[in-house]
Amino acid sequence: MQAAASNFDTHIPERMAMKRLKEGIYRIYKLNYDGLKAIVENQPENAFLRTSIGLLKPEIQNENPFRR
Amino acid sequence: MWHAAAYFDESDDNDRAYAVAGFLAHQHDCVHLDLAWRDRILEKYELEYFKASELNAGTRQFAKFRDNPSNLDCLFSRREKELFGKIKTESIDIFLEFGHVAGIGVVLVLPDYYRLLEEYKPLGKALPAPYLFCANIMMMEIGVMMNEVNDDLRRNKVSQRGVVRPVFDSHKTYSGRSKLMFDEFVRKNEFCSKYLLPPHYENDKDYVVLQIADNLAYECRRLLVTSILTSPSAWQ
Repeated sequence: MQAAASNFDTHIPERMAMKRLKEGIYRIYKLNYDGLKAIVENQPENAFLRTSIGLLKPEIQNENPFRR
Repeated sequence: MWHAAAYFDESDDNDRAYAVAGFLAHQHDCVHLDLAWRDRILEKYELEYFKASELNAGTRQFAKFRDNPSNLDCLFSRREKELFGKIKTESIDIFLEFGHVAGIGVVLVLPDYYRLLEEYKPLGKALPAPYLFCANIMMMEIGVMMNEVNDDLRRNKVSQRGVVRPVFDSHKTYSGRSKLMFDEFVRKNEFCSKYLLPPHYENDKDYVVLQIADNLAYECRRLLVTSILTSPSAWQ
């Protein structure tokens, strides 16, 4: 399969990189509609800086490298 | 004192996802990462800098490796695919080889963000820009991590404590605003900011580990975009 020189192509080495990273990265959060809304609706006085990661479950999580 | 640093960069495809990602590590490990990156990526491939999107597209710094550098729009040949795949693999290897480096990221789903923005408009509510939203969450995440590190040190009866310096790739629109927002962040997030130093904004050609953060941000965005697009409920 030929890979297009675009920003959105998914040729094989890229997907391998993703797979390996998925197993090696500590945490990735996904802010979708529900996650965004949960954060926004829980802000006191419209203070968005007080985003709470407690409201979010990581989409990808591996062992904390500092606690091995 | 346990001095840690956390390096972050952003990645944006303009219509699907926006990511801010990077890593937290002891500054000693950051120096070794810096040296490894210079040696095994920049010097090996004679690059002035590394940018994941340019590697993916085979442009700018990577144009010299193309079969025909004057026509960058054509499909990758087998040789190009193998070479670019090799560079990508090596760039990820460097990050994964360092055991005490915590990669973290947040990916904002842009259609959901804009949907919420529209819903809040009649209510007079605003949302922070995607960059500020994501950068904030990363600051909270490293703040929590440093609390955990210090809890462990305390439990193990180690007298020293750790602090972390967030370093973001310089951003012409948001660097100034983010600096101003830090005092407010500290005021509103006592727990997370307890061991957090004020953020720095640096150039990724001077601080080459920011290029590793760029690579992570790019991959995090791609990773979640791929998982969203392959999900049966994608974009419902």
